[in-house]
Amino acid sequence: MTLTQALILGLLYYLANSPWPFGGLGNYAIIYRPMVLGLVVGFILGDPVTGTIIGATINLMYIGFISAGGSMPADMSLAGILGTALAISQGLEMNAALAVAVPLGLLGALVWVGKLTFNTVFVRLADRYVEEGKPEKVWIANILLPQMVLFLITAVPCFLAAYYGAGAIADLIASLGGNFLRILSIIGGMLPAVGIGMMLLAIYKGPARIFFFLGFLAAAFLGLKTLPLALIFLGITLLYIELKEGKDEGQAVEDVPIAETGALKASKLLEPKDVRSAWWKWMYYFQSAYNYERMQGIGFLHSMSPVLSRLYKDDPEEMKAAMRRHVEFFNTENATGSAVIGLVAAMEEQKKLGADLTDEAFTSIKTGLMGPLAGVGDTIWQAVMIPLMIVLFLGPAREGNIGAPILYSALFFALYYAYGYWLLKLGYNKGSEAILNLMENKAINKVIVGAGIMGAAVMGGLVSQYVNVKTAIQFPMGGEKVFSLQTDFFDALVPGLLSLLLTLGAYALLKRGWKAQYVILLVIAIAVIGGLVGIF
Amino acid sequence: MRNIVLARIDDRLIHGQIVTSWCKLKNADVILIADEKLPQDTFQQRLLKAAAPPGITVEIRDLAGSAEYLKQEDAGQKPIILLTKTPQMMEALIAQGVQLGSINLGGMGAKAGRSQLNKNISASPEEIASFDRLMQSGIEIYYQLVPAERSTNLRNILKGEK
Repeated sequence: MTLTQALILGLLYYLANSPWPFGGLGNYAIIYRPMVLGLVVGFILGDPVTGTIIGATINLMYIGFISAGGSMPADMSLAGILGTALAISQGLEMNAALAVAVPLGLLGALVWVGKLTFNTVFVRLADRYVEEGKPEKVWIANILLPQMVLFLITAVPCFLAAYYGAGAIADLIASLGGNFLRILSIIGGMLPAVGIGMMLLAIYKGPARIFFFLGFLAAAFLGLKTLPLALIFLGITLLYIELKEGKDEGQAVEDVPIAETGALKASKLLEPKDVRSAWWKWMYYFQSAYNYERMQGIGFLHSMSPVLSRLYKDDPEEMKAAMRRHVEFFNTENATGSAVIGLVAAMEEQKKLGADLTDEAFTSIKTGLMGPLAGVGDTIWQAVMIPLMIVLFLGPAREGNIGAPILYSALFFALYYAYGYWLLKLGYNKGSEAILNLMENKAINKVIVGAGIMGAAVMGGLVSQYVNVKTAIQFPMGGEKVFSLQTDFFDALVPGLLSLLLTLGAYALLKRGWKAQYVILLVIAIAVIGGLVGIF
Repeated sequence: MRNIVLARIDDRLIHGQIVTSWCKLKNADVILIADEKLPQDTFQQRLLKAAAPPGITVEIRDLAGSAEYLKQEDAGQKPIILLTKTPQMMEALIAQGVQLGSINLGGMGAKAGRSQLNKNISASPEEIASFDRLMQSGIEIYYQLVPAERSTNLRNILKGEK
């Protein structure tokens, strides 16, 4: 690896954790995912096809990964970048690369804690801008300084690890010999069982359980790949929902103006571009200065700055009061939170027009909405859409199709921003009642249940294809003949049965409350011991 | 006595961590929110009910109503997640005869009158006094955002603070 390549890898790790280029949660769903990073790292190191294959393999571990409300179990972006870089530059095969990447992911989670701890410093700075009544300065506390800190704690260690670490790790593996490499590969073949087990934790319920087995069997016996499998089960799922849930009785969303927030006049003080600018700031920088004290408080204030500048630029006291109420603790899901941005912009506008809206009214609507909207938003995006879309494209990516991560990224970006913009408009034009009506609409639940069922079927297929547990046990049958437990028994009975059992075992432990790290360690121990005594 | 599988203090009540992890892990059928103000707030009630995952019933009751509900016998032993915004509400429920072995501390956001105890928990002096009384009565309070994270005993967090 050249110095330049290592520097670019460091920059890439910074970008994966920054708001650029796809926005806050856009980045998190796109350039933070090993499947996409694999392609990018591959381009940097001159082998995009291998990069995509390795990235997709590493991504298997993180399908069921959710970071909700400031919790972060592991850093898949570091695992994706360094794992892929190591595999390409040192010629490590993919299962071995996965085995090396997983511990790196656990190490990377420290960066997250460091960031949220350090960013608390910028709360003081934001508070100072609030007391000065200067919304135009908030970007310094929300973007400039926190991003400089983030750059230091991400780019520098990743560069060092890539430049000095890759060779060292490769030398270490080489010095430990072929048997070590073989065991590393056994570990890598087994680990996806834990990743899939984590995903099952979210969806393995009710009818989804049957669909999981059906998906597994369809892949094991018919050899169906993930994409055709997904399409077939999409049809079955739609049929199932239609039969089971019956016709939709949800009522149409009513157009209620911002009644209880005190709409007085229909006149507008805000330009459309003010509201749009507030929304872009929210989509990109909502979590740029994420910190343990106020979470997205600085991000929310920064988002509101175009609105406040327009409304209160000639009224310093009102400006300070408005800034104070928006730098408070706030925490919700990015795209769904667009509804709050729209609603609060409309409320500020109404207040300026003379509506009787107290600080308390703003605080109660913001704190009231943030939890429930995060519940719905995290479910839709983190628990359903991201895993489902990753799973759909993971199969082709794993076979070296570099179009798969690109198409995934484009599709996600379009869906995510269309959804966010629609909610912004809903919140701004129709108010809190419309947001509530939307959440009560049963159509969302149908989509969630349907995606869970279809996802379960595809996960079953993934177990068959990408969890790789094979026993090496053989019995001499006299002369040259041997009876191989794997090929003569398991493969003849149900191909991939051991993989299925390992996945269900990992799921059962997670379900009993085991931490993922311990399940990972247990699987590694089984692989090492089994590999040494000749079971695998 | 109904089957409480998780008693949690969390001022955001139903949100991502509850919906995507705790409900799944605990197989909850019911989320009971005990709060004095919410039973009068229809907007907030509808919002919280809409935020719950499919198949989970949300009950929103005041102190007396919650205590009465929890003390009823339930032959089916439906798993219930109990949510309150403050430790004082947990204390009051216990005073009304609700039995709790341990309490999960989720999130208490920073606001005026509260000082920060650790990453996600801020508490006022009154709230800290309530924690102390709960712990003295033998109830284990542990800080844990989601099941995937390690849990920390509140005593250790308070020790670091004092």
